[in-house]
Amino acid sequence: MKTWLMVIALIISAPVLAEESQLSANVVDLKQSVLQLNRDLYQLEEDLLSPETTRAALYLSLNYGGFFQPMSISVTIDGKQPVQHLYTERQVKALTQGAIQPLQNINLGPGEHTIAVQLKGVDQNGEDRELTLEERVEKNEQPLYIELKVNDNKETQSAELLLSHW
Amino acid sequence: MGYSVRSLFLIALLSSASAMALKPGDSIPDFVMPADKGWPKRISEQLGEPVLLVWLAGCDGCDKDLAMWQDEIHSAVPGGLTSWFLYRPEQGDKTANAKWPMLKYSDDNQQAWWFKETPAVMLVSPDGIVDHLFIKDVEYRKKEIAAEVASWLDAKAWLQPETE
Repeated sequence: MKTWLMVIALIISAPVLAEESQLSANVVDLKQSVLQLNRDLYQLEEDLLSPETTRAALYLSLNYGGFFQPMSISVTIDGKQPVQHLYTERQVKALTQGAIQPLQNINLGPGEHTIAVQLKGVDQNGEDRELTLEERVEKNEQPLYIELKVNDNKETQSAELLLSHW
Repeated sequence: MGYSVRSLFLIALLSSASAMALKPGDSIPDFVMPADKGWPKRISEQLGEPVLLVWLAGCDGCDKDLAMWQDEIHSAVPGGLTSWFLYRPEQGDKTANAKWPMLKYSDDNQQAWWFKETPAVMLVSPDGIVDHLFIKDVEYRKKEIAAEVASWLDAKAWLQPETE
């Protein structure tokens, strides 16, 4: 009698279980579609806000940081509103360990631009030191990535600020 | 007429952007400010530990006032507590010396904000929530506030963020 009851229960529940597994598969598909849509929307937003022709970004890196540790940076491009940042001890430690800081994403039209950097900090003796730089950079149709590098110069026993872009 | 209304709106927007009104239960917005001595300080880097913020109404050679705050808090909390003074330097102010970091607010600091009511004392929980806020007669209630800080630290009953 018991066996018969179990067989009947199995026969009744089999289609329900199949439906449930189909439903959970559909939910997984739906979740993946939403994630993909979210990615596409993010990309669309990025392309609209910052298309490749005007996309540019500023980065800062520290090569060892033995002769200079930054406390604040101010970057102006074509004399417009400066990009500013204050560095905490923890951030400087990360930079000395090789981190590259994404400073700011900016919009730059194709053509030549003047970039002026004022980097304030302390030298190896704990004295206030300021590194400055002014250079012209060319922006073409491709995105422009600018890296500001603080380099230790062992010959002069001091730091220098360099700019590289790609 | 339209121009002046727009100007007023812009001025109101700019002035409200830097002066922050907070109440207990609010998450503290991040800020980073330079210190008189040493590295700039960022509040979000203190997550995980309680912080005491003393917002000064002014500090023209206010060494004595700062020393009193430090002594009262030290007596009530001998184990120590991360504590910062925050002030807006005015031209001609005499420099003050303090054991705690003295953080300088300036309007051109895009990564900072100023608390709307000063002087004020703010206790920030390890979760970054404004847990206690003292804004009334704080200059004359240092001992009482220090005792509150001590019992707050002992109880560890941190306020939870407000849910909408």
